[in-house]
Amino acid sequence: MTMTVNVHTLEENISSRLRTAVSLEPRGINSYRVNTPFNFSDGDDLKIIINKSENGKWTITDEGHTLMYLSYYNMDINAGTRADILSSILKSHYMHEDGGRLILEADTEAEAADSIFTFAQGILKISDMTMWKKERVKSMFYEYFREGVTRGAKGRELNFNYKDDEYDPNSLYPVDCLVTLKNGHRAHIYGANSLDRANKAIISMYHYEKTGLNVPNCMILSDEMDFGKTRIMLEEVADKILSSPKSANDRLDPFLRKYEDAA
Amino acid sequence: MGQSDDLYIQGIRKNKTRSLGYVAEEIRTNMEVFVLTDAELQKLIDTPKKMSTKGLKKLLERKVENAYKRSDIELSSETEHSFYLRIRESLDDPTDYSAILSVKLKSGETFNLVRCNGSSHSHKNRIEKTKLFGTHIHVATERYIEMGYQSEAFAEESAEYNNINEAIECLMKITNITYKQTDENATLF
Repeated sequence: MTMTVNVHTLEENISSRLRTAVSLEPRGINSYRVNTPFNFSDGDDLKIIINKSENGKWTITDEGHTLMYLSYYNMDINAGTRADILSSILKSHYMHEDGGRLILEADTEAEAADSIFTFAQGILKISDMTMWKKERVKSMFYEYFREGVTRGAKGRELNFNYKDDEYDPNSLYPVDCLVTLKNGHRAHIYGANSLDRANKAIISMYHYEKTGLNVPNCMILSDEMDFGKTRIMLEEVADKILSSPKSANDRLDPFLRKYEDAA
Repeated sequence: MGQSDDLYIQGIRKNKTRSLGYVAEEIRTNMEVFVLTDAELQKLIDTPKKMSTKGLKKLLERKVENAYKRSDIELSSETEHSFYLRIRESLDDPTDYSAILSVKLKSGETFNLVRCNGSSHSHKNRIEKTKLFGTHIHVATERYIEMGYQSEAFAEESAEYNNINEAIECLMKITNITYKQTDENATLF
């Protein structure tokens, strides 16, 4: 039975959460740090300082923290597209930059209160530049795996990150590398630098075993990892286990030739 | 034959399943990329790195850029990767500073491994849902990289330093950065 949502209660809950997540910390005369529930992508809180000047006007500033945060990632925002985008974000959020400090000005306390979230949004958009085109940091193991397989395959055709449209239409059982043998048959090569990847490879190997394709498979492990009991499971399903990508240089070809000669 | 994607060209696709509560150990990803493991990250952190005399000079003579001072020092190591010590110090707030060890892998990817932060702000660990106050040290972890956060999005509180110079010394100690000094009793600053 679906329970009806009580909109007023939900609204009050959300409003109450947001209220308690915002607080002020005094820093000096008419100067406060504003704590909000928002964080940079590294988990650090936004830096928002609100000051009231002698003429009664309000200034919201980050004291230069946001551009300093961008520099943690060695990001150059002085030229090209990034400079244009920074300028655009500042303009659309009624902010400006002064000596590296981001600032939003308000005439009254009410206007300043309204502006806090606008300022926070502006800072978040600017800081998100550090996440653009960010790829997961890839392990060196993958590069070594590619090198080892490429050298060990001795000129055979390779398809890295292979997915089979017929036997794996939903891409649930990826093969790290498909090798086309000299007799036209296929072999599968898997790499693992973690237990999670080893377990995934085991699942893929069992899947292709059930298809009846009789595809030989080779597992290349990272020599920096102790696979413990997972190695025993690998021994039950893999036709060959190599202890490192480096050993693939010499040991992969003899393994593949066995299946070329046998066919 | 099916389709083949080259990871370097096509980028990353993933399927994620999560348990209720988003507990890190229960998050499983069907990723098609070998993410750096905690063991590999620790190896990078522990790799011996050396700072030259030229580097020390840069460390002591930080330059003003915008509203902060900075220096970026390349370190040497006996690996194929490049390491950098980065210092940032706010001009407006003496508690707002960072001492950072970053790495550029042989493959070209650059990210931060360890970062010693001042007490100017609090920090939230999004996976563990813990909040920290005061000086804290960020460290790159596999689980945060997998989730798509900044590599060093996990942090722990630290009582090892109270200012930028102490943060630099702390960072050098925990990330195995050395500088050869003629006087063994002298400190860096």
